[in-house]
Amino acid sequence: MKLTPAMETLIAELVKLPTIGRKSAQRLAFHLLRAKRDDALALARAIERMRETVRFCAQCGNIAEAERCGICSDPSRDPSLICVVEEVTDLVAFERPGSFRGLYHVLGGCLSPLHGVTPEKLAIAPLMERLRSGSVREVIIATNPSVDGEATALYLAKLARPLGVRVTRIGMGIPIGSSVEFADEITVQKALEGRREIEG
Amino acid sequence: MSLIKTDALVLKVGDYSESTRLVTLLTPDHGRLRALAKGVRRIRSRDRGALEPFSRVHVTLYLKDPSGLGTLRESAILSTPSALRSDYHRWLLASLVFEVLDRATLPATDLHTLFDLVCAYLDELNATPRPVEATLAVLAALLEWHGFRPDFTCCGVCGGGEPFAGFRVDKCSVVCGRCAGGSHFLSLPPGTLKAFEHLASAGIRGLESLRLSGLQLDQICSLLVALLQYHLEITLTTARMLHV
Ligand SMILES: [Zn+2]
Ligand SMILES: [Zn+2]
Repeated sequence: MKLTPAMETLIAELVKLPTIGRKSAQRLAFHLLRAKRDDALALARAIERMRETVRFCAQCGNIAEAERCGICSDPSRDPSLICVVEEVTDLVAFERPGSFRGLYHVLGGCLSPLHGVTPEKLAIAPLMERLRSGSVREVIIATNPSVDGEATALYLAKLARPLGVRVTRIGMGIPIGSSVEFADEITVQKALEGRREIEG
Repeated sequence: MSLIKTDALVLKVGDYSESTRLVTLLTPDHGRLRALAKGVRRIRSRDRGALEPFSRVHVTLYLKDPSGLGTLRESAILSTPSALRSDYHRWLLASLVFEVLDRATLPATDLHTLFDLVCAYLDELNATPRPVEATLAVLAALLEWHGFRPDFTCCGVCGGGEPFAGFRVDKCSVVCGRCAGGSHFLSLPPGTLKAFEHLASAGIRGLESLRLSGLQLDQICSLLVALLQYHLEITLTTARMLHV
């Protein structure tokens, strides 16, 4: 049965969200209809505000509400240590244990020519720019332990090593073929502590 | 709806949704298949590690129709070339070969020869001290498998004999000095043409006696990429990453 046009429009938008099917979307739409008017509108306003204020940090690619993100503009963080991740969600995973005090660099994925991802498609040039500044002592490459993630790590190491920067790779613990995003706090911390120099 | 149990090579793995991955497989009996693998990104997934590009796997999948999207039920890893995890260059070479397999039009059945060729190549790539030579040899074999055999016997334009000045990509043949030129012509020294001829006929395991310079390898690689792109009507993204 078709609902009213406004309900159908909302359901059509909700269905676009991950893991939301038609049934769940309909349930959410009715929930929002029955909820207090202010609560329902607060959600709409939160989405609008998020889209208008959140952007990407000009230095590291993390989400930010200013030119620099909260991590890059935190004076207590160590700018000589950079942890390179594929996605912002990976950064979130590394932040969860709260023990890493360096900065990050978000690549925007990993090398995958079969999916059209060449080095130019990733934030590799801005990373090298940061490494060339001379203030970075160590770069920890925390791309996923997939075969493409490993290749990306090796590629970055090849570029970074001539710049006199120590290049390390996160240790084992995150299973091959899995991803940083889904690792628990202890695994992520162990991976950071167990990092080793990339040879080659 | 049919249930398929088969060996397969994982050509590529992409994200389909948050927890589902889209896997492209090369199989000996069912051509190239695409299947959804649910929940495999999670740490505790039983399938972890099995669905990686370049891995040889045994899979069970449901398929509604051969051209459609299957659903992966089980997968077990049979072998994976571990050298690709520690050697960027080998990974790049394997990516080039797999991109050809992913892009080129393939028949829906009987890819046994092709499948065995690629399996042998991966084993070789994992161990050989000559990964570039092995890759060029397998690319030449792929070209021939698709029906394009480079001709080294006489000029592809006038039929004349040696000396040859280079190669015509569109004719898939050497050409003489009088017929040289044009947009499909690649000027190549006789030594490189001889080396290419040897490489194209030696097979991926007959390369021990071959001694090629870096320049010759580059020239043959460019020529093979041009031949594959022209005759199979594909664009190879990996090729752009080879010379950096
Ligand atoms: Zn930042
Ligand atoms: Zn001629």
